Amino acid sequence: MVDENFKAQLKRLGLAVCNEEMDILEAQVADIATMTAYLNDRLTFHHEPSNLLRLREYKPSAPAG
Amino acid sequence: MRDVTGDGRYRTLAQASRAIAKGTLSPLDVLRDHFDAIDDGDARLSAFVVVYREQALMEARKAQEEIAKGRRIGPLHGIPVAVKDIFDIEGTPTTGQSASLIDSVAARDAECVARLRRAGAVILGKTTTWEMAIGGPSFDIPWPPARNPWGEDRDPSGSSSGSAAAVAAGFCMAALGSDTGGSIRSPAAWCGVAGLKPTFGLVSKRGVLPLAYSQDHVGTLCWTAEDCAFVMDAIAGHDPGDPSSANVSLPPLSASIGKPLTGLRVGVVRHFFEIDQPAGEETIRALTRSLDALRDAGAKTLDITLSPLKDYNAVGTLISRAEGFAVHQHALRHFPEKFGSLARVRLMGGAFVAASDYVNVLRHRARLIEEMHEAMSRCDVVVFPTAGMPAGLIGQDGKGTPAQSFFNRPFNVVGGPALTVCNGFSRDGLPLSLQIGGRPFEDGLVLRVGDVVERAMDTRNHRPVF
Repeated sequence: MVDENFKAQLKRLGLAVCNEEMDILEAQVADIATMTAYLNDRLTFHHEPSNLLRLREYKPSAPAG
Repeated sequence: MRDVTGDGRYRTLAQASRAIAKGTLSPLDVLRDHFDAIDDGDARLSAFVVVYREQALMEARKAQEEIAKGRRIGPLHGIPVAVKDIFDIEGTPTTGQSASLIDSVAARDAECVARLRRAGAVILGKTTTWEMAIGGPSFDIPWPPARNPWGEDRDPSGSSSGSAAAVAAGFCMAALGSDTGGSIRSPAAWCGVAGLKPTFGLVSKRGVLPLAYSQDHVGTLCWTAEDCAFVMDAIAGHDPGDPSSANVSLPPLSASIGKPLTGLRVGVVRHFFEIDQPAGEETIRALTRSLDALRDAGAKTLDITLSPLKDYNAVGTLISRAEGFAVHQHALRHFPEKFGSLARVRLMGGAFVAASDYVNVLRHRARLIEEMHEAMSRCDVVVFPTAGMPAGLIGQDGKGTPAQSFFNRPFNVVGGPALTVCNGFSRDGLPLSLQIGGRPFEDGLVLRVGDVVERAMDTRNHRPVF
């Protein structure tokens, strides 16, 4: 049974799926919430956000071997 | 599987290229062999969306004439290369295998396709992808999913499914793919080919349909690691038109192949496949044999501990979901019916990642990049499997290929190069896989290690029967 709050949330986001897909999407959103909670519980460090664009500044070293 | 030692129909790119250079093989012969193989088998595998027969013949003829006049450009001159259907080719549709883009004709070639042409390659056709490089295999979109040549009832994985299946089947020697969460390495593993996800920014993404800007990588799938090096030499390099392109110049990656491994430190991330996500017994046995082979070649092995695989998976998944929704939100709101069910639901899930959570995920990413950087001060490459088990049956239940079969997220998250090679076969004759990860821009080194594993494990003379 799909939660009515979930349906309302989906509507607020301007999204719509058929009834058969609603359960699958709700399960996926639950997975996203679980992963988010897992990571948020481990925010015990002080890093600033990063993406990979900083790799352009990386200077390759001579690999061993 | 069959032993194809000495069978002229199955060439590596390196073999074909050397024969073309010597004048004992012509680009037209190579192309015709590929056409024959495609005609024999692609009705069953659906690896290609389209084959550019006339155009490819014209390009191969031109290459043949140029080479005959002594104007050979390099190793790719006259070599047919297939391209996943998310790369722009001027004047043809780039559909991403989505009805939402069915009439989307590209105005110009993607930068990496243009570079292939400049290297003299013949563009053979476009290969099957999961829809928008995220959802698959799908049975509710206008194209059938690709099948695995090692068993037509087997899943080739994805999203670069057609590229991997085409290379394994001998329909082509090289193909381009993309990798946001393993989309080159997973199908390479299950189809038994080599697949390189290069360092982030090493290959231009201009003219390639995006999925997740900060995790998308363009790379290649070939029969061998050595062949991947030749393709990379053609497509790698700075592109000022791609904001994520790295302004770094590297020596040719192919020059790294064949150099000794003496003293190389190979880190084994054992907890990934023994504790965090236990791999199958055959996969672990093949990995153990690969480590023996690397030690025989002069390398040293040591165990390396990183954060749990779960951390890398959560960071990679949340970033790609959030960025994927950002890319596709307009279409998902205004014509959701033009997506297949798998892609639609996966992409919509990204709408539920809050901005504050996305920022915190990027903070975790910084931690994981630093952790990998520190770990790789103690070793030169790290290894673990690509897939924990051989190819599963292709699912028609609408759930898609199970992500928990793979170990791909770490190198999408940290951006360094990661290569999949075939390191053995299961009792059922299905390919097994090893993944080799490296420091940013040390793509040549991971290819060198992969080449040693392929030769030692003697997997490259065996092709699928289909």
